[in-house]
Amino acid sequence: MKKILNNPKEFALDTLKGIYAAHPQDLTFVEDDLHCLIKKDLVKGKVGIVTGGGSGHLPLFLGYVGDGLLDGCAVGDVFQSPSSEQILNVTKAVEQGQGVLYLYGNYSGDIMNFEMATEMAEMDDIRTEHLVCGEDVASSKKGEEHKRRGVAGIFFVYKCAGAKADELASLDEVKRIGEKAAANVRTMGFALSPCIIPEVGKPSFTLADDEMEIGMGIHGEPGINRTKLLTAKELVQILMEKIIEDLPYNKGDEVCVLLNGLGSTPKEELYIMYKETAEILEMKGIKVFHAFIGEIATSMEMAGGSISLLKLDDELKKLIKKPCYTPFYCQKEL
Amino acid sequence: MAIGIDEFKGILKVLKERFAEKKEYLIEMDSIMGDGDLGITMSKIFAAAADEAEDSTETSLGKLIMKSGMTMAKAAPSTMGTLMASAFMDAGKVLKEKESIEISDWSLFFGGMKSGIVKRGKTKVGEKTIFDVLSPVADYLLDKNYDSEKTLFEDLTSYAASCLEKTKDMEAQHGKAACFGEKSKGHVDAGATVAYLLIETISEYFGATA
Repeated sequence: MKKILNNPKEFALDTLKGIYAAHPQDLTFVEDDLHCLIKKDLVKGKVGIVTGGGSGHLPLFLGYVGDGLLDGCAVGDVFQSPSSEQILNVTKAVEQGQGVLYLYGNYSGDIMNFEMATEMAEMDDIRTEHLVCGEDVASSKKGEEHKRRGVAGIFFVYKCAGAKADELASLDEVKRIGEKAAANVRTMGFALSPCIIPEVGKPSFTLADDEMEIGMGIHGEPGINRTKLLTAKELVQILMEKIIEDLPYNKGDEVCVLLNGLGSTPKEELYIMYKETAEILEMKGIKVFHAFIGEIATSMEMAGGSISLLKLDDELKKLIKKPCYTPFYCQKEL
Repeated sequence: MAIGIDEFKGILKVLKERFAEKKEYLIEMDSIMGDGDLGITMSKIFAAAADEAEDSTETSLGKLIMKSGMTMAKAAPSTMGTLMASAFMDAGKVLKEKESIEISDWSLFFGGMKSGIVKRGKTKVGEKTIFDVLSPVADYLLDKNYDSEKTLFEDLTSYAASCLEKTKDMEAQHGKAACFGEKSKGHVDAGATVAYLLIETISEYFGATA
């Protein structure tokens, strides 16, 4: 293992200390627990949106806490769910009288702990609703979408729900928008190399130098096909074919595209992939409203990435266009 | 013999030692189909529970068991950490008023663990999880009588081993392993292994003290 750290056990904690030191004007924590991260300037009367999940995915999850996006994040250790108590602490801190939307990925540890948090929040008369995102086409077959795991495409759900909450919409409305965005996102990933959990100290899988895996998840979940290294064109064709046919995305649709790097893949390579993606979409008569390219949901030093598409309608498009700001992501009005 | 607070603290202590020993083994096993953090989770939760219990002045055994669960939930809230925490919390609730566990109460203890796992994990038998050991084990004890903890746990350990073995033929439905589908067959489940180790370790505790 070759990582910059002090103590593998303190990896998440030291990361959080660095984040609070770097962004004191934007982020803080509650209950004396660095894992309970909230936005500094909460908006009165707004539905709170809380996410949570393991460390090791920056900017996912806490990187989307900020203006026009999320209000708080319960941060777990590397690839581990936060505790229900941490989620509850964040919930209590961001609640502004309108209830709280729990927006997180489809992982069993997270689901259990968010459900436990709901049971505890009810004791404090805080209403919570859950929106579990899973858009990784490779993680479960068509017809079993409820088993799919949440990956980079959750960004679009954050963006739409966050912008809607900013309009001071009700909890039900914010949830409806989030569900609509989630229903219209599809993602496919791939990996060229594994990552190492600091406390484990060695990779959880291996790929030969000339191999890649198609459909890999962000914790190294196995994909659907291991193959010799493909060209960008061949790779994007495979990924796009799976994504487009799954919703499906049809001629005349307007979409946002998200090219996500997993941590060790340079932006140059993502742009090469985008060129291929844009060509396929043009050929299919699908219009691109906006492309988001960069690291949105990583897996530490894993090389690889994913493509996500969000199908737009007028309502979602209006929300995607809205500006937003966090220390990790900011966007002007589109 | 009845198990009081001090004996239960002793059991937690041997569980702490055993799961520390098995840390690498469980990491390796979990790496085949999971995230590879199972060994870390298990060593953390039993260390936290044993350490907290040692300093506890709690006089109700049920409450001590329940608090052990709550400690686990905080120590490592990953899937297996949360499930084990829920299992201990429910086992504690079932034994809430008791100051000691009689031989016949072990059926209640495992019944509580079973209900905690069902409630939190929404799983059923055959889905290749910890439940595939804990559920049949709880049912197994229902109509049995034993004359000592030693014989109870020796019998239960061999039954748990047979339940564990059966998970080899199951196809994973939960967590990362579910991604493997048909390919998840052929290995025993890592979570079910944790349940087996728990029972085997308690058995060794009684073997050593008998």
